[in-house]
Order: sequence, then structure tokens, then C-alpha cells
Amino acid sequence: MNDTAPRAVAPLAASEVVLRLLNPFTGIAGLMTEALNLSHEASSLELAVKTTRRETNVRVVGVRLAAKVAIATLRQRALRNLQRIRQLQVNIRANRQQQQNLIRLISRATIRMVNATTSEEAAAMREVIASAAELLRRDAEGVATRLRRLLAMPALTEGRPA
Amino acid sequence: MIQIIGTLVYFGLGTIAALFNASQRNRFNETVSYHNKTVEICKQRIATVTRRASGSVALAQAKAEYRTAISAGNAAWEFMNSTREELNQIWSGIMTLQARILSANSSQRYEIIAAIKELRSTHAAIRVNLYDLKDRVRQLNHQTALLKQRFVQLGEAGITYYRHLQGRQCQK
Repeated sequence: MNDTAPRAVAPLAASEVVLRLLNPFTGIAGLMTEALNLSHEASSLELAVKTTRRETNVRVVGVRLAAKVAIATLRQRALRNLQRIRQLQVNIRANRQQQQNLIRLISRATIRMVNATTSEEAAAMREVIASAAELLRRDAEGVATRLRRLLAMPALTEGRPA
Repeated sequence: MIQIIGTLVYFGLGTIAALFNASQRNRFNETVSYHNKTVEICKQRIATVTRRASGSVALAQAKAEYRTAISAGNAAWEFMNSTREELNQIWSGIMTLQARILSANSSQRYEIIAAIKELRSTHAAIRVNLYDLKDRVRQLNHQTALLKQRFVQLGEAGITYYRHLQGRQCQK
């Protein structure tokens, strides 16, 4: 699209026509040449209008297509992120089961320790509690680290209002 | 006589040329006006389409971010809730052992104290993790709330989605 818009021409005044016709060598020829030039330019402008419309249609289609591609990419990325989150949720639930088992083990060991009759038995239970507690701590830390990494992912931090 | 006829013919042809010139000027002017109007309409059309397209992309991005944030927040809350339960269970184990300290003999007491120490350190480590996550989730929730407000600025479709979210919140 051309930014320099063509300008309209002023109509010829009768006095100007008479003045131009007073010169027999350039009068009629000049008027005819001018008219033919204007006709040619009008045809060019009609062609330019068609080209502009075609260009606009192409650009509109391009813009719409680009937007569709961008939206599809965004949706795909969001879907991937959601799948990642869902997978983590599944892992958290599985992990929870394991942690519950450890907790049960600790509470059973605690009861046995409380009711222990010998110091050896108490020491063995203490070992069990220590190992289970250590595993529990590591598990919780592992899941928390994964969650922290998830919360720091670009989709949740980039371009967000501060 | 011939001169007069010649002059009349000349001016007659001149008038025809002038009329043709005027008609072509008129046609040119109409074409110029049509061209300029078309160019303006095309510019406006491109601007409108670009604005709508960028609005749609912005809305899609905001929706994607919002859904991701909500899902991540939910996952974090689920983990935090189960962790809170675990902390309570560990704490009750610590309390059970503490209640037994006084009645236990010296060697058993030593083992009980060691077990309590282990459980306390586990409890503290898990609690630190929990509080750290809680802070992050709180921050995420704040950002998600701001993100939700952003829908209102994203045109008609954004407002509709915002209302849809509000409706869902009311149902809950």
C-alpha cells in the first residue's frame, strides 16, 4: 500500500478552455493529451485499488494464520505443563502412600519402644525409627524440591504481573 | 466564409476536446476518491484484524497461564495438606515417647531420647519445607488473582471468561 495518496485535479474553467483553444497548435492537442493521460492514470489507480485489496486480503489471512499458530503453540505448551503437573500429582499420591507406610512403621516402632522390656529391644526400635524418619525426610524433601521447581517454571513466572 | 467555417469547426472540435477532458478529469477524480477510500478501509481492516488477533493470542496466553497456575497451586496444596497430616502424626509419636521418658529405666530412656531427637529433626526439616512451599504458593495465588483481573482488560471474550470463572467460584 502506497502512503502517498494521489490528489484530485481541479475542473477546467471555461475561460481557461477558451484561452487554451486560442493557441491552434497546442489547444485541442493539449486538451486531448491531458484527457488521455488522466484516463491512463485513472486506469492505473483502478488497478492499484485491486492490488491493494488483494494485498489486504493476503495480509489479513497471514495475520489470522499467525494468530492461530500462536494460539495452537500456547495451547500445546499449556497442555504439556498440565501433563507435567498431573504426573507430579500422581507421583505425590504414590509417594504419600509410601510416607503413610513409613509413618505407620514409626508409630508401631514407637509403641513397641514404649512397651519394650529390654534395652536391646528399645535400641532396635530406635534404629527403626531413625531409618524411617530419615527416609521420610528424604522423600518429603524430594517432592518439595520437585514442587519448588514446578512453581518456578517459566509458564508461572514469565510475563506475570509483579 | 471558409475562415468562419474553419473557426467554427475548430471551436466545435475544441469544445468536444474540452468536454472529453472534463469527463476524464471527473473520472480521474472519482477514481482517486475511490482509491483513497479503499486504501483507508484496507488500513482499518488490517488494523482491526491485527488488534483482534493479538487480543485472541493475549487471551489464549492468559488462559494457559491461569490454568497452569491453578493446577500447580492445587498440586502444591494437596502435597501441603498431606504433609500437615504427617507432621501431626510425627508429633503425636514424639508426644507418646515423651510421656514414656519418666517411667523408663536409664538405658531405655537414652534410646527414647535419641528416637525423639530423630523424630524432632525430621519434623523440623519437613516443617521448614512446608513453610517454604507455603510462601511460594501464597505468592502464586496472589499472582493468579492478578492474572484473573487481567482477563477484564482483554476485551469481550476476556470479560466473558472472567464471568465464567466468577460463576464457577460462586458455585464452589
